[in-house]
Amino acid sequence: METNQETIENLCGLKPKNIEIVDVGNNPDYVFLNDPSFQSLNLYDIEGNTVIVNSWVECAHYITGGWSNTLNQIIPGEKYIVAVTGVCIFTFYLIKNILNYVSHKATDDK
Amino acid sequence: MINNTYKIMFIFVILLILIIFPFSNSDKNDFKVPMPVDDLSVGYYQSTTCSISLWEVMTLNYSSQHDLYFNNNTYPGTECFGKVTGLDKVKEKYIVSIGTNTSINLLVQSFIWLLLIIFIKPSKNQEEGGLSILKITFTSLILSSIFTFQHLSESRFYGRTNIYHSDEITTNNLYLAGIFLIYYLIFLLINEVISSREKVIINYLPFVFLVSGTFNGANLNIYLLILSYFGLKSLFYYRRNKYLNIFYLIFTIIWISSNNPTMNFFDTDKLRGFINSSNNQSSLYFWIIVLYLVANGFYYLLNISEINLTFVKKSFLYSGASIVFFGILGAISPFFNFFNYFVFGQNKRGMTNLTSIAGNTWRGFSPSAESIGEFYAAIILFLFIYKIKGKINIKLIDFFLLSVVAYGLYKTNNFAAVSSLILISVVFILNEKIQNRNIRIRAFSFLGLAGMVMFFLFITNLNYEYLSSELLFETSQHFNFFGNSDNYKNFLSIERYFDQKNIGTMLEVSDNKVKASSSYLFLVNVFTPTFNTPLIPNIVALISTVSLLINRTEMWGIFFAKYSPSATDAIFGSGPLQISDYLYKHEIRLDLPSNKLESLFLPHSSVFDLIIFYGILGFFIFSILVSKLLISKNYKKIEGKYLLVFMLINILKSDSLLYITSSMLLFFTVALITNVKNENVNN
Repeated sequence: METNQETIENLCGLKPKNIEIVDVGNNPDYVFLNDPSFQSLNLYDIEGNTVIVNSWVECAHYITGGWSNTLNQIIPGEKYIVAVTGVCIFTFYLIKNILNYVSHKATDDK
Repeated sequence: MINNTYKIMFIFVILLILIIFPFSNSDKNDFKVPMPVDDLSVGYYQSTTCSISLWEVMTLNYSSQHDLYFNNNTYPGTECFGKVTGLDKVKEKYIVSIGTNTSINLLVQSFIWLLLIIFIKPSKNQEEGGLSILKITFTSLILSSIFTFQHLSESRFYGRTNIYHSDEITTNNLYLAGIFLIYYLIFLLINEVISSREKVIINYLPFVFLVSGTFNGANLNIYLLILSYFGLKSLFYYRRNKYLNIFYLIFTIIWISSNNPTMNFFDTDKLRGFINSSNNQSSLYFWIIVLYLVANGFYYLLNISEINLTFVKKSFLYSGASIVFFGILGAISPFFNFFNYFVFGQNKRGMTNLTSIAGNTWRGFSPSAESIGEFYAAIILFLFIYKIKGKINIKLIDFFLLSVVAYGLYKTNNFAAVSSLILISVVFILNEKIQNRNIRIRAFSFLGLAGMVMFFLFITNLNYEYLSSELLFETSQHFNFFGNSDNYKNFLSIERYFDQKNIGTMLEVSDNKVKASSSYLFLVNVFTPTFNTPLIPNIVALISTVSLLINRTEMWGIFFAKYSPSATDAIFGSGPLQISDYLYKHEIRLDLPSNKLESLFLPHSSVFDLIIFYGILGFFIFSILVSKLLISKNYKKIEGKYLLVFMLINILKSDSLLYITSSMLLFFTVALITNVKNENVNN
């Protein structure tokens, strides 16, 4: 959890005194209290969802849950698949042609 | 020799990389570290998705792995492949979802399986099966177009299993472009790997039971791709079967013209990879084309294959024993359970423990206990028959493997497979060892007489009237004839009509004739004829008696309640692998406990399966072909005939023909009859 603590402080700022990280578990009814001294932050999850956090505790909670302050572009997987398979097919034909050429050359040499 | 060893080691290393790398890959700089899976980390894993690899979770939670269940989640994108996509606690188990994107699965799984085929030594005349680069390109283009079409025709299925799925036909649809290119690459590789091995590949066919070959998240099986490749190759460049093509064309015209598309959707369950999930015109076209290619592929293989019994023996034994080994491994370790599913292409997750019921079926490796029981019994029968005939040798290691196979059979609890194994073995021994014709006739007469006496005792003990009408009685309970929500009240109402032998009157009450299925009405008509032929048993009474004898009354009762075909469908069937009409078209009220109502009720007889798909005429043609194989003197391989009879007895009471592996085993027994070319023990 050492790294997590570091990440939290990087993104949410130094932990204020007299504040403890609350474990809210999966309680959907839990309400974070606003901290007027905390500058609101936008956080994003992997799917591009956004949340505005209004206290250090709330920020820490979301960061622990994997949210961050950078919006990760969802990887365009279909493009990767087209590119990778395209390259594989091209390589297949290339190797096939080279092998054909080599075997024909060997036959001709004989 | 050294070269060969290096080659095997090289393939083995690539295989390991293909299996391990996708599940161990994660960004180490994203500050998202794995945590022990417990109540406290549920929220963490739910929000930290697609970052932590399966490998990281596995290594951290190795000691507590029995609290985990690794669920495969095919829906998320490529960035989530091999990584945790969620965590839930259900009862005492933590369900860890692992992303396995369907498109990537197609690539990775086909690479794994084609690499396994490379282990097969190519046939001596390697050049014979080869096609020119132009023909390979042409064949691959056609086949990949056909299989890409499935992603449009079964859009509802693929829309649920792949985040990228899109059925819009536009140039911007990268999903379809990607799928097309994946299939294209797979067919190029299939040609490369298989063409030099096509004559000998049949000897390794028993391994289909180990490597089920169903693509994770897809309604497709690698064997369909391979057989379609053979089929198209046969149609374009080799021999064609005139009769097969003519009959198939006639049936196709009728299937297409009589099809009534509906919104019915079947999630494919344990039939995934070898069934139509939808009931629309385009999915019907797809399966008609694919089954046509598969049939031609089988025909092609029958013509070119060179069966070597020694290789077949090894394949049977190693495949059977490996299923036991990996089955137990998967049952005791959740990690292996997950990898068994992925690596072997199972269409259902494997058993999770070794207790009775859950552990007795080698679930995962086989969709049903019946199917795997038939396989294990077939192995034993094969070894028994061919050893006695002196066509194979059995070594010490074979005895060890055979004992593992016997254990596998024992755990399937498949009484039908065991009893038919004993019966066929006895018949074989009597035929083989008794040289004197008179003694042989006496022995068979005694056996026949004993069977008849037992049958007579069975009938008299249970009362013929009860036996003959029980199937109809069972079927009647699944219609909402009397509108009672209480099953017992319904039972009493129906019983009253049956006691009074007034089934016809029961149908006249209210709109019961509309509620009843057409097959039920037909059975009632046959059962209550206006003219009774003396001494000839009523066919419905006979089926009913047989169903009780083999414990199939309930399942066949449900079949006749559900099966409500039109006259055309009854004669020609609904089309290959078209089951959603059977499952959902006719509304019934199952007379079953509430926890069973949502279960999948298959017909429990391959005869009924054939009738659903190909109609009575199709079943009739199938019967003629099989009879010809068994009776014709052109086919002299008597050993294969015993195996075929064994298979036929078993599929009578099981749905094995619905499973591609069992269908291939049936095909294999046909090949054993028609083209064993190498019978020399020393080979």
